[in-house]
Amino acid sequence: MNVLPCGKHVLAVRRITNWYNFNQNLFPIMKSYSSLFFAGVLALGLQTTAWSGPPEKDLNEIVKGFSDEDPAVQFEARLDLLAYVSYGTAPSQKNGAEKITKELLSALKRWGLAHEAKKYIIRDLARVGTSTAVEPLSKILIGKDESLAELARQALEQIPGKEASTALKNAIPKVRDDARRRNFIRTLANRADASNAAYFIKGLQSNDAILAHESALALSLLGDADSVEALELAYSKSSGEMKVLLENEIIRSEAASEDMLVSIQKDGVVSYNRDAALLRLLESDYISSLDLLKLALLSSSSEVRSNGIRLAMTTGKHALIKNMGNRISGDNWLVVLGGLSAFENRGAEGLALMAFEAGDHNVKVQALRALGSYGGAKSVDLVLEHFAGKDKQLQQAAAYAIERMPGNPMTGRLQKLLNSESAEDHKLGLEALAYRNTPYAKNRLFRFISGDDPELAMVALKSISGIVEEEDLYRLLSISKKSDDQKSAAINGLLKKVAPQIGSAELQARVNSL
Amino acid sequence: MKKISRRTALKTSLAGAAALSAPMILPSSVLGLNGQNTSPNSRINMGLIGHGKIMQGHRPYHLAADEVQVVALCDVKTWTLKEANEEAAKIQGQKVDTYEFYEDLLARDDIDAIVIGTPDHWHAKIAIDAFKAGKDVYVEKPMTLTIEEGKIMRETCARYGRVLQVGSQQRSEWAFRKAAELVRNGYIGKIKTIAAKLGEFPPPTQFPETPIPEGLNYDRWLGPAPMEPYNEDRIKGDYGGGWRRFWDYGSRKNGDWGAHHYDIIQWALGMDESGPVHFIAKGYEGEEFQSFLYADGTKVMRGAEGLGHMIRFIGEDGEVLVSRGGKIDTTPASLKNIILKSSDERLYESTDHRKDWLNSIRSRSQPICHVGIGHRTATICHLSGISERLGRSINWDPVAEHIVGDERAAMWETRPRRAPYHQLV
Repeated sequence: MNVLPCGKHVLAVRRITNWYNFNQNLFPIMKSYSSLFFAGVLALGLQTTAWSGPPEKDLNEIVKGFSDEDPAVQFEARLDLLAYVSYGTAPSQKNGAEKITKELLSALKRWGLAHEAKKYIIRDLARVGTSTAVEPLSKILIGKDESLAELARQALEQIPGKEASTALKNAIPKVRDDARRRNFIRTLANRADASNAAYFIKGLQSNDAILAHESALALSLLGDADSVEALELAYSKSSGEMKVLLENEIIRSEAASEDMLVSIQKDGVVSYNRDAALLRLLESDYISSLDLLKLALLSSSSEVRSNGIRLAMTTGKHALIKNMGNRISGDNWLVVLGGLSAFENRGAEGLALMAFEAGDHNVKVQALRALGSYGGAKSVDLVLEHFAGKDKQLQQAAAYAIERMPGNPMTGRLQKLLNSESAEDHKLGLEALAYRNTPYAKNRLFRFISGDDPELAMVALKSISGIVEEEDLYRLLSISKKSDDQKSAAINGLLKKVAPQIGSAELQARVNSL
Repeated sequence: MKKISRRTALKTSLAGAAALSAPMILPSSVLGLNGQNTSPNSRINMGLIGHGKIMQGHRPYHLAADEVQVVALCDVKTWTLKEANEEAAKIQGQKVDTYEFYEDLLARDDIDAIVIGTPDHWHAKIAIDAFKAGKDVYVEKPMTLTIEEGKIMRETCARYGRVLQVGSQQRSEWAFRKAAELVRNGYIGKIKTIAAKLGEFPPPTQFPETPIPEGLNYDRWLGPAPMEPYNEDRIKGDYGGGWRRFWDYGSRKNGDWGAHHYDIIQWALGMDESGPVHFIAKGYEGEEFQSFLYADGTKVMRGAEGLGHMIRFIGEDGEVLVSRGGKIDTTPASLKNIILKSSDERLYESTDHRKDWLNSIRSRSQPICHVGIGHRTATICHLSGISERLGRSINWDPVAEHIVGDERAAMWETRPRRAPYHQLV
């Protein structure tokens, strides 16, 4: 077990310190990074430390560590504080958060407390603080120490309950600096506290540009019907940057009305919001959304058509794609192929074949690959034709399809090829067997390996090399002994290559003796 | 003349494809490809944000890609931007516009897509703003700094119909796919335990404050993360430490390597839309390893014996062990040579993670490691980190996506953001 309880840290530190002092004389380079090195060694032991038991240091002792000149000890204090707070607020501790909050606040009041200690105490209050911490943090929030004020702001953003919201609302009028005031309002917004809805609805109508801007963000975070209604009302009266902001916030609100989405889809300021609005309308089966989609699919712009195709395919309106005819062009085909999972298999196969017929080289490659998922009887010839062809990219795509095509059509065709009278068919079938798991494939390959045609034996040998198991290697050993020199050499070469990877010690010994 | 079988030709061409996928330091015009394969109008105009270590792979790739036109670079270090732009000039033939503030880059209407190579604490904000500006995104792993960020990213990405790829590129390595397919299809039986090797960072520490160098906007580098004194070692890009060792900017090894290995485990178990239910800190009640459990009892143990591999799946009927560089071992050994049946479940195949994203931008389809997957994987990274920091076990509801039964641990689903960077959405 790798647990180093807190009390033992000190002993460990001392031991490491002694070791370190000794080595410092030997290794001057360590001296220049003394604290860092020390901290490194120390924390190496601590980094995986788990505080499953009660901490052995009390809070008083821990915060003293922050005052130590040695950064390593300060760093240890951070870990100890985290451990202390973590243990005290674990689910097993009754009223743990409240108790720890009070202890941390009490420590915070201590005279002469190191600034670093204050920082880390407030950071912890952001995780565990209860409403008891709100008042003291509010004072720090508007205090002169900017770094502590910022940490108090973060804590007030996180602490649950209305009290923190109220404290922030009270603090906002007290700051004159615009940037700070914006920060405070945004903090209130980030709380997404429903009790602030009225504040922000009023704020949205304010002449105070900062408050209005932040209110828009706050209301979409709240996302309730009243908040979104306020955003929609403001949108209809707005212009310029505020209109863009409101449009963004409305689009991300689940409660946005269909009328508003239609308005944004038609006249939105931002094109991406127009697309997003159409998607929302399609998803909600808005009565006119289909007409809007049809318009997109008929557009003269390839990009608009692509978007339309994507939307159709992601919202169950894919039947419209089949009616697009020759309006699907260029990259549109890639979008179609990318969304084939929306169709049942035969429909998908039909579209993939259409894409192959009509598309450019890249589309053809993708279409062949798509046939690996959706191809059936209609696709087998096309796939085999390109597997046997000279275009390497199409060959690769065809091999991919041969490996994956569902069901029997491809398997059946390969069996026919192997049963054919034609040597060319045999060769094609044997090569394809390297890619497709077919019943009795190995027996067929062994038949050709043992056979009289040296060329087909070599093809079969290559095909089997990637799929052999140990028992197959024994079988190959046996065939090798009965074969002519050329074939035997080829078989032995394969055995020597493959046996070390998958063979038992016994088999390897036999292969080594070849 | 030597006869080349189709299979040999395929192997050769696959090797060629792999070679092409590696970064090329030659301008596409030099290769005679410029404008031949892809017309300028159909190129993807791209902006690259954050030029630290990881961008040293992405940048030359996209600068050299025929279908991409890199048009803008962004970083908070002027010297880094300068070096990046010199590379742009070398590969693309001319310098491009540079920006200190990513918002200015996103404001450009001519940019279609961005790559985010910043530290983790900036990922979500930049990605969300990019979605709203109509850009597609490639974001480095882990996708987020917090669980809450992931939910918002997923929702915003869907609303705007954008394409996002997370840089968990092990999904695009054949050996990991093969391993996942073997596991998924039951070739080693019911999975009992999984070992994942993440390694260790040096511990976070407190560096002495040093002057902020001219040309670095340190406040901007920190962004929403807590203010800490500047020290170069705090912010440097270093796969063995640097900013990655600090909790403020990530989830340490759980985020850095967990984002890769947990991602493959999720894939193999078919849990891309769900996740584990219980997380245990190392040392908690004698637990030897940091671990997490799925509802069916499958246990993932960080640092358990992996027999020299990055991930080791142990099933009732065998084992699958897999690492980068195409290393895969199985028990029984012949399993790795098996050809899956056409009735077996097949996984999305990508052999080039960046190219897969570019393809998805064109087809408007989901790439191999899309936003939903990235969010679920990052959630495991974060929950592992939360459990480690709190030193206790936590329960997770993967449907409601909340920590349950521990109100205070649940507060860690998000993190306070430093002003003025505290607006996430």
